[in-house]
Amino acid sequence: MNKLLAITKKELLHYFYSPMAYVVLWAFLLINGFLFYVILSALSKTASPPVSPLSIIFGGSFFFYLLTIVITVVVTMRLGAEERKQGTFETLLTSPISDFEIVMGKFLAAFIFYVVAWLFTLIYVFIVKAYQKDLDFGPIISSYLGTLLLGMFFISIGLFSSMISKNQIVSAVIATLIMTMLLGITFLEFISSGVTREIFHYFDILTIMDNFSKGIVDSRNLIYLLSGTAFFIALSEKSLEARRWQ
Amino acid sequence: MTSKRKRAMGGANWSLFVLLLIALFIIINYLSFRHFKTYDTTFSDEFSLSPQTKKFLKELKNDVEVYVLLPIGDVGYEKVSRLLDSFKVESKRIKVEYVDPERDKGRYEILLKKYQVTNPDSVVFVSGDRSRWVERDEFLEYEYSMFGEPPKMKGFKGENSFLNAMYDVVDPRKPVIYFTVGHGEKFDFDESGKGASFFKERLSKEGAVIKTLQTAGLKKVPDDASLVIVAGLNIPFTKEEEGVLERYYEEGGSLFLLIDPMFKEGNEIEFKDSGLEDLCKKYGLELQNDLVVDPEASLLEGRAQTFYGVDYSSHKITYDLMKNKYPILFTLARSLNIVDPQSSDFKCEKLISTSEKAWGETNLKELKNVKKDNEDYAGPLCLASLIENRKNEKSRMVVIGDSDIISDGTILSGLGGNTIFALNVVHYLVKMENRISIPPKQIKSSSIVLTSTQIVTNFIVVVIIYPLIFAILGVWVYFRRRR
Repeated sequence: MNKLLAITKKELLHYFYSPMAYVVLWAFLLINGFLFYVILSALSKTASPPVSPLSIIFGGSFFFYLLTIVITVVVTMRLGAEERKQGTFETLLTSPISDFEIVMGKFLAAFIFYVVAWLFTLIYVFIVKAYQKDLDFGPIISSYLGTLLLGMFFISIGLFSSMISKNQIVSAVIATLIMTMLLGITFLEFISSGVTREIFHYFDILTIMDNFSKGIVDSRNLIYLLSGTAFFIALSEKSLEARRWQ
Repeated sequence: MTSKRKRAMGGANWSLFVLLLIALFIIINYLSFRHFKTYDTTFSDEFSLSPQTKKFLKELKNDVEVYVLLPIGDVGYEKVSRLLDSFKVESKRIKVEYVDPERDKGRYEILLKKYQVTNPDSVVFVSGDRSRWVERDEFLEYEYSMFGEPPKMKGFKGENSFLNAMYDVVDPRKPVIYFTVGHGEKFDFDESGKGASFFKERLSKEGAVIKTLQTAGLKKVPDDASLVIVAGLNIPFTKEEEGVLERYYEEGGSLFLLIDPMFKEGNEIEFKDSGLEDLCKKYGLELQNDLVVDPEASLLEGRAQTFYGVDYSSHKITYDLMKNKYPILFTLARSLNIVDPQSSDFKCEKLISTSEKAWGETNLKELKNVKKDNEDYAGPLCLASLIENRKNEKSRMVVIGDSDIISDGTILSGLGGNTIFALNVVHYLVKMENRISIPPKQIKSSSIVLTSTQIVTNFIVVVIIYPLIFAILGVWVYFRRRR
């Protein structure tokens, strides 16, 4: 456990001692802030539909998925690929740290960075609360839960891509492709019917996020996101193990 | 081992691992797909089922097949599928099939024909050889714009309509409801479209058999009667007719009396009796000769005789209406006064009352300038009451001082509470309480309206200042590292 936390600490220090982390946070909050401003302006018009501004922030717009993909890809693309490029992987692999501890340490660090980024969006909740006295916090809590679970899933994908790639760009491309394919299930669901449609519906991330943003926590959504995370973490560990024997 | 063989072994090991991992992922998700739970985190339980729906689903003994004949992009599709998902969580006997009218045209046509569905956008419930379809207007409520904009979805009443449809297919009991005639009743239940057609249609749709009852010369209420409704009298009941109703009630029958204030014909307006005063008084309820006026709860300013009942009891008839603040519209109502019954076997319970500011106007000569005075009955006034018979629990009676609550005009002008209340009373009286109506779930209007100054302030804070803090931090970290 201590070794795992040491790796997490090392990765976190690497993030926050680099100006890149702040550039990412600046861009993340700028885009989210602009989106929030646009939503508030649009909803202030009398003919606007009765939609909660926070439900659009969390999964109700294209920008949510764009930001989630960008931030998870940026924080994970260097985790394995950079170590390989700098030649520090060999040192790590020969140290008395298990593959699981290495993978989980890196995963945890990326996830903490992701959580920190989303925690800064709490300011939007306080702003909405200031204008809307009867704000229901249930859907807000579940929206954050959904966002964190989706982040875990995407980070595990990014981590796996980074473990199998030789450089950061390739890692980012692979991760983005997998994430986009998962989001594309919505389209497959739309064009299919019967049982196939039900299966695609189960895996549809847009539907899952819609549930969370409305305040519905569905065990199917939790299981899918958690099992998906575990699946890619296991793959990452296996790729690391394969590298050890190369 | 050669490096080629080593690589091949590694590749096989990898493939096997990935296959096992995929298999495990599929098994876990298949089990989760089959056995799931949902948790509603909204404070208003927006996505939770009512206790009666849960009870019905848990006790379901027959399979119920549900065919959703709606296109995927339909405005109600998401709400319907979410609701049916909640049904599936409660009972394994619910089987749902979604049939898109465009994509599964063949299957759609077969189902329309098989279950004789005449409305294209419907949800069909089937159990054994019984089926019932619920059309879109029965599960969605719309708000129509006067400015040519498309209608907006205002409320979702799927839980109530689907539950009743399931009751119809699993419980084929058909209550027989008699409406009395021969007293100038303002609603003609022999013909449709005469004043209370919405209420009559709802009763028929829920499986009730509607019949009329001529009470003149009647010795006994027919044995098949589940309920006798007296509504909108103009001519008083005779002593003999009153006696027939009294015997019917005391022998375990159910009565629903909707008695307006009645007026004598002539130059001067005066109250007259309905002929049911003694019957009600025997059980502890006095029909007061007055006209209820409630300026605080009136629908239109200056027309305080049309008002909403504001105070509901927590009885199961009114509980959901009270919880969801669904108002019931009254017009030209009389008040009821709870007095001591002739026998302690009877007990009256208030169901709906007016506000404290209301009064019962007794002076009909000054109707153009009504005001509260000493002769009037002071509010809060009872408008609807339930009479319990402790000696015979089968006997049930509800008395309301207004028959207009079931009229088409009032149902259309009201906010939906009248139909729910009247149906709840009927379900209670015919001993089918499990069908008590569930009010529709309102589509919450959670949008916020900001002034232009507030919008500009928000822009400065969330788009400029807030992200800038992190940009400054980044620059600081950059220079610190260079040093």
